[in-house]
Amino acid sequence: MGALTRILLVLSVSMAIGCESPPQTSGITSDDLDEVTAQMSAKLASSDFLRDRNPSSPPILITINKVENLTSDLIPPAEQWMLMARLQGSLNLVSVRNQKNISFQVPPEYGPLIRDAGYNEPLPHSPMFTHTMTATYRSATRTKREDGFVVGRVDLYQMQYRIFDVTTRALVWNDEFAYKREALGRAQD
Amino acid sequence: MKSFRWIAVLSFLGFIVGLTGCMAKPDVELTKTFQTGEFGTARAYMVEKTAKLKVLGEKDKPDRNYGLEWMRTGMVTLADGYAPEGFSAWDRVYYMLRKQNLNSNISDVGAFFGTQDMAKIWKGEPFEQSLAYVCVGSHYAMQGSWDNARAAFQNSTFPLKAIKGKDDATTKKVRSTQDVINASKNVDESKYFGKDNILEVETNFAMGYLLQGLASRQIAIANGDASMLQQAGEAFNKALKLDPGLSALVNRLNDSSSYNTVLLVDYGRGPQKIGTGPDNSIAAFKALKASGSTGVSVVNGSESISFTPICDVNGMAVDHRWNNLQDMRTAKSYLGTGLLVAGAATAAIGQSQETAIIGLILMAGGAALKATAYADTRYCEVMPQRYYLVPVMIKGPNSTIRLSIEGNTTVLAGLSPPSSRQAQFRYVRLLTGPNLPAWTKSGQILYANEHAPMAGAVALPYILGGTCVSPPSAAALARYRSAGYLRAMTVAQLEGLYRQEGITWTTQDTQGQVCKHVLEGGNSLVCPLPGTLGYARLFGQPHRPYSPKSKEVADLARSLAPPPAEKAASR
Repeated sequence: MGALTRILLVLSVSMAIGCESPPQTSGITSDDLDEVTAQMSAKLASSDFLRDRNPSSPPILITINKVENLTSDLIPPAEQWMLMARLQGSLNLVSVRNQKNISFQVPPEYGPLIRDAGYNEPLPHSPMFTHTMTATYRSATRTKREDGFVVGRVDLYQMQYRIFDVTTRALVWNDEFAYKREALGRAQD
Repeated sequence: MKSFRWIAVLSFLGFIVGLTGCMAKPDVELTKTFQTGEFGTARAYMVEKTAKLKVLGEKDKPDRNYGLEWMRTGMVTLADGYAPEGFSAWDRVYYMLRKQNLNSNISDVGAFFGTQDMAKIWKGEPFEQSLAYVCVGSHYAMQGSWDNARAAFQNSTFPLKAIKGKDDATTKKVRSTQDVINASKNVDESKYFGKDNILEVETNFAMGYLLQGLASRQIAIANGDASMLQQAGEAFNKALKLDPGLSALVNRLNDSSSYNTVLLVDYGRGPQKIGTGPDNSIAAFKALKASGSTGVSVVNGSESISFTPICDVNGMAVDHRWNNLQDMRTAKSYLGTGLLVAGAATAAIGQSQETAIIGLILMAGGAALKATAYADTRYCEVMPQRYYLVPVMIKGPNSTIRLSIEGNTTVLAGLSPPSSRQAQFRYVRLLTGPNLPAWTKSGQILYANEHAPMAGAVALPYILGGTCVSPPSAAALARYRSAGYLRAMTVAQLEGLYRQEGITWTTQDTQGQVCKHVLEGGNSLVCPLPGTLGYARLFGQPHRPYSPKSKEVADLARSLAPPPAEKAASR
């Protein structure tokens, strides 16, 4: 092998170093939100609030009226309401609706936003709701630093859901879900 | 043989000169249209450019200019008074900035043998990143989404890097990049650029804290959360610690009864990024508009008040804490010079053909290193020179606000009090120059739109010869009918007319991008927010009559031609 060939080979290998490392983010993704939604709907269905209900219980109609993002990351309104629409979709399963006589809805004014975001399932609406649901998302951030540079970041997200009785304003259900996202690599490169 | 060598030497010298001309230059088309307030044209230009960019998945690497092109698009959209709810330019910028490890595939050797702008995915200098987060926050605040605005503003106050000197005094004093370079001459550079001497320091970005405090306060107003109110107080205190001159503004922001509308005013042309030093290897920013402390005079009804600047972008651009280090580029330049000289000497003095070839190879290497040593001068050329924050109380519908800075006056039209207890937010770009267009001061609304449905002279769609550019709806049709037009038409038929003309009234059809408005010859009815420069430009001046594209609309427009008296009124 000639000297020139060797030099070119070394340079090529050196320039290729690090090509396999993909970008990472500790931000919230739709998959994370879907996972939390699935956990949340399962826990709500088996909660004290719903456990003793049966098909002949007085009907409950819950409207999801507020989503608040107090994390250090963006959750665009369309994504916030898309999540609630998916939640409503999973809770409006025939089994829950028929066996517990309960249904969920998102406010009709968010319908176009949810549709724009790509949600195509039904969005039922009735003005006669009996309960409201709120969702609040919070986060805490930890960073790893080397030589003054952030080289790793962990975000712990906590999602709190609450259901209130519209007549008494009493809190009838409250639960929290947490998950962690981590990312390695320089934050400012 | 000797003449061959000298021809070769001269050829390579020419080669160097040619290659150094590859440095990135400002986008002329964008800056020309943006600086003259032709935001619709600027936006259409950027929409076309960004259409070629790849859509990103979570683990995808973006194009090298992905962040830059979307930031430019975001700036022209925001300056024009739009904050679309779909997946916007600013969402794309945000998710790009939040990605770590973006430039990890560039090994030191790879970067050394390439150019910075060829190798790096653009994320901007730290100060550009901070301003980008402010714009993301402004975008969401304009939508009334104060929670997301707070998240973005919070991200703008990330810690900075400082170079530790003999004592920590250097980290406390604002020094320019040039100061640092001068100070490093004749000393061991490792003391300045060595890894162990880089410190992390808290940001001095007072505007970021001010906006963070404002957003936290608005959230507290809506949900009564005491912790948010406390966070607002802490953020305001940080801003005051950095700039005690902000006390009057902070007092006003803390008194919710004194304002229901906040304008973030963007003024002057931001600094230009250039290459300086050997082979343009050091990036620096050159002020295009001098910094100054002149206040913005605000006339709102009977109230007249002045506010001082809250951010000097020129100052940020020259403060070394807000810039990346250039040591590798400088080293490349010096090494390139060395190789070039050695190569030239070998080629010219050597006695054999072999030594001439070795000399030429050395020269080629040196030339390539020098030619690629130039700094990455890509930057967002539509950034302002300074910012003002203006909290005002809008008392009645369709109010006007008059803003003046250094003799440049703009009248914002169509502002009404917000419908909730939270303040409304507007990002306002002010134009400068001796011959500002008349619409900047008109304060009129000549066309009915979704925010001012009763404005305009002829209650008939603009595409049919009227002065209404409201999206098709039952309410709009009712107005046309009460004016004696389109009595037999249904909403679906009205929508059909717009579709035949290829006109859209949402950003859903355009992947969240706002296209050129129909009044400017475009195909969109999406309207900027009242109280912005875009709203003043679009509705504060008469536009040419619409030229229908379809036969059906053209025939209908002819049959509906308003009586001469109405035509005259609409002019």
